[in-house]
Amino acid sequence: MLTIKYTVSIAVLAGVLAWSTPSMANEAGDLLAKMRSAVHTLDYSGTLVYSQGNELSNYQISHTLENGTEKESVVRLAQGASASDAESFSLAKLQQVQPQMEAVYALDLGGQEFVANRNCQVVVARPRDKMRYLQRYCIEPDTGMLLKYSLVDRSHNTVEQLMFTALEIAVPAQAALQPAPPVANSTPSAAIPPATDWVFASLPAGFQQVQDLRQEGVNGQPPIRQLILSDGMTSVSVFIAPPGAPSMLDSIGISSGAMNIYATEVAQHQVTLVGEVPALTLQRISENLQYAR
Amino acid sequence: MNTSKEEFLSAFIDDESGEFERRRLLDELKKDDALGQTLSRYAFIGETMRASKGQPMGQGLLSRIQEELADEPAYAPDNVVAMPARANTTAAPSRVQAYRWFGMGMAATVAAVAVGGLLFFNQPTAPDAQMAAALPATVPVNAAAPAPTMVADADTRIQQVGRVDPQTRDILKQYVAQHVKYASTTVIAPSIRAASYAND
Repeated sequence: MLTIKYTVSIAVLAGVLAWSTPSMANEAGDLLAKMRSAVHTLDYSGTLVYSQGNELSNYQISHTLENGTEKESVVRLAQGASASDAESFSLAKLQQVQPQMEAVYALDLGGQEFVANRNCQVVVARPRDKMRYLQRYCIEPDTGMLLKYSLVDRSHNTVEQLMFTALEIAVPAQAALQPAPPVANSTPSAAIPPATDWVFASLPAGFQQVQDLRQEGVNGQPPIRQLILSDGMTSVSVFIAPPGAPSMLDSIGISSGAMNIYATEVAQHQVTLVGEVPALTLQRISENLQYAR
Repeated sequence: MNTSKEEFLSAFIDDESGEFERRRLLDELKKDDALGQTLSRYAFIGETMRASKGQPMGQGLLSRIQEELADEPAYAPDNVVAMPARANTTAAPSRVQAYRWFGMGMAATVAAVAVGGLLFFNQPTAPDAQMAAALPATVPVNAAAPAPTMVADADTRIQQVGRVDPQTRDILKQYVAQHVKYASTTVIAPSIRAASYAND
């Protein structure tokens, strides 16, 4: 009798696990997609705290959608000084969920939290390898508004986090009818065809080159190449300065919150990688960068 | 983490703990990630509350703790990144790795049995499952502990942000700005990140 009980128990457990895992992942993905739409379509205003390492800063943010056009205002609440604008900051820079990201991140539903007087549902994008950070969101289920966000490294340290401390949300009448507008990224100074002279022998799983830009040099300096790689959730810029450009002299590695910078030399070019990924990832990418000419 | 540790931590945050207790807590912080997370959370909440009252932020507790921990031999500053050692893919698994896999296997077995038991005896499971989902499924903390001392490769030098020369600093700022402008389509707060970097 006891054997039968255990057998039934294990069968039930297996069934529940098999059924619940994809379901929770779908629910997490749906909530993530809803969030990425909500930050475009909702009218919201509030105060948020942003922490990076042991530094904290406070921002006042408002976002409205008027006749299909997003308007935002972000003010950094500087301590002991007059407030200054942070014009380019935008939660609306979030893109829609990319299909390839599920190959390198597992999406999970977490518990519920209470942030800025609102209940929110935790969604975790857990990397399947050590080449990226864990991303933890807390999203209000009804509106899809992001209330809290953090990036966590492999040692379970939170390298950056953002949290609303006060928030007011209004759903615009047309919000439900309009799809999320495209990401309003600035137009690059010059987009050129994919590089054939610089190639990557291999890239960390999930990463692919998505852009190849040429940034004009400042004060007569030669142009800088910027190759952009993405895994669907995070990105890496590879800056390539030609020989003769002002260089940094040394190979360096710098970390600022989630952002890492790694500089080295490849084929006599100064190569600098910048991205919100672990330093190991930047180094791995640089090791596979080859000059094909 | 038990209640006494939380009380201890609270006293520490309020600057009400003595020297011996403070030293003991610093030792604990080096070993106990959960305690460190709790400390960060308490400090974060405290700073946020003070900020809402118009008081300065970010200059107090965490900075002092960082400074104190910086004197500890096992501490590595978080604004300096070690050049990761090259992976030796041909090396045989070490004993530590073997123990790690064994430990993970045991943990998985115990977890499966525990969940099965819970299901069988009709215990509530949702909160546990949610908590488990919220936790990053990485290697055990102890096994993933980095080398205590950051040693640079012979051909590379690691420099702190504040120590780079002005030209390098300008170049890095330009690169960060361009990354934020053109590449950060997936990060949550790119310009905040850039602003913070520029302020370092």
